[in-house]
Amino acid sequence: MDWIVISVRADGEAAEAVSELFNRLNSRPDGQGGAVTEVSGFDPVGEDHHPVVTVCTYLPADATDTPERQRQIEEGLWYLGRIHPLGEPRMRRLAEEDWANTWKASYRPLRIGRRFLVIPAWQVEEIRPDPGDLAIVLDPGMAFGTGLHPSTQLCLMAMEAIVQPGQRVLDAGCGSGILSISAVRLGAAAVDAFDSDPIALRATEENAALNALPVAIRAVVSAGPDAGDFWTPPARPRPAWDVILVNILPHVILALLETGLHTYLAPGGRMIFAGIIEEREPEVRAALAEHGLTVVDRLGQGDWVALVASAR
Amino acid sequence: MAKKVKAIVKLQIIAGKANPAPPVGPALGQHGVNIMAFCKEYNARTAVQAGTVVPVEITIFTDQSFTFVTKTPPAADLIRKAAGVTQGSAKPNLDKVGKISRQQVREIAESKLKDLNAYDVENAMLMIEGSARSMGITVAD
Repeated sequence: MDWIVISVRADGEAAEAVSELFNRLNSRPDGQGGAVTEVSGFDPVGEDHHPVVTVCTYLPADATDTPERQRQIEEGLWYLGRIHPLGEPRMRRLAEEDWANTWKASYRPLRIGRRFLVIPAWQVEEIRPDPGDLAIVLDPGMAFGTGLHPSTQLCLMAMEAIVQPGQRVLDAGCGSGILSISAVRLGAAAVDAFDSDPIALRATEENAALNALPVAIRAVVSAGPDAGDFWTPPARPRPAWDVILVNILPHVILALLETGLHTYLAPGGRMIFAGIIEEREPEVRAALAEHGLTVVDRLGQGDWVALVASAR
Repeated sequence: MAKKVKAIVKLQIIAGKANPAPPVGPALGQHGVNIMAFCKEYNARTAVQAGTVVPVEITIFTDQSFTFVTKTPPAADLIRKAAGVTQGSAKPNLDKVGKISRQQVREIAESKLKDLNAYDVENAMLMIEGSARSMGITVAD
């Protein structure tokens, strides 16, 4: 998908006014559009003696209302230019591939825990895992789960200690599929996964294929959080899984517990909850206790926390 | 040694709703920042403010790492609320759409003081008045 970028140079006070104009004329209910203010022009030691302030907004190139919005923005900038000194507005076309993949240049193979080695898909030819490494080839694309985030790393470390060969594993909110693939690498006999984002499902399937796994990951799209129904429990007999992974965010963890996700846990099984910021840990612990779960282990990195729980 | 700053990017995002579409994606992606990592962090840290616009200032370093701080609601939002209007004027130098009192300007300036580049409340008030003027909202004594 292509976008039209309108950008204008402005000083401090004018930047605020241009930002307000862009937010007013180009904000969409889904949060797209809006204004971006960028300060650049830092010298080699990182000081901004002569900062350059640019404000820009993004319009979807193929939307029917884009020409009209563009006209309104140009007109608004003209009027604003009567009050503040503004640079000449600049328009350019931007394709998604121009920015979506730039960060990959700095994404390197990553060791996590004792045995996991996350290898970017575009470097697979150059990297030779050591004997005993559990390699995970990954192209996260625009799905969550690069392995760089502490919550994913904590989850992987907890999994190393918990997942046993032959077990059945559920990955709730699978994102790129990094945890599902890791579960197979640890010997899981069956892995189910779901995510509310179709992009994530596609990423999970593509990453599973990249890894040529001996066990297929069964991934499905669940209802999104805005539908008020995170997950439709599958028509399968309980208990269904020996390990359930929930690496999302506290409010989703709480909602999933309300749907009875934990009732699918096998006797002696474990649930791993991650994506928890330390300040919200008490809230999650209270919810676990309320649903009959006991915290048996806690892992932390920075102010991120993962909790391992079993059924009482 | 301290890391070198490459750019500072300011965005206004609905709390808990950051996603890789524009504006977040291109604003960060062009600097090599891991877009999804930012989205996850932002959504986690703003989840409790769901529904409100939480401005964020992201400092991007030359090694593509980043830090960010969330800010108080935008001055324009507070001004609109104080004036009781849903939007500012498209022709602020000609068409005035509302007015706010000096006391309201003071209250907004006080609530935003920590995020403004101002020495004191009086100085911050001048900035808020300037923002109001740019929106076609007059300040009455």
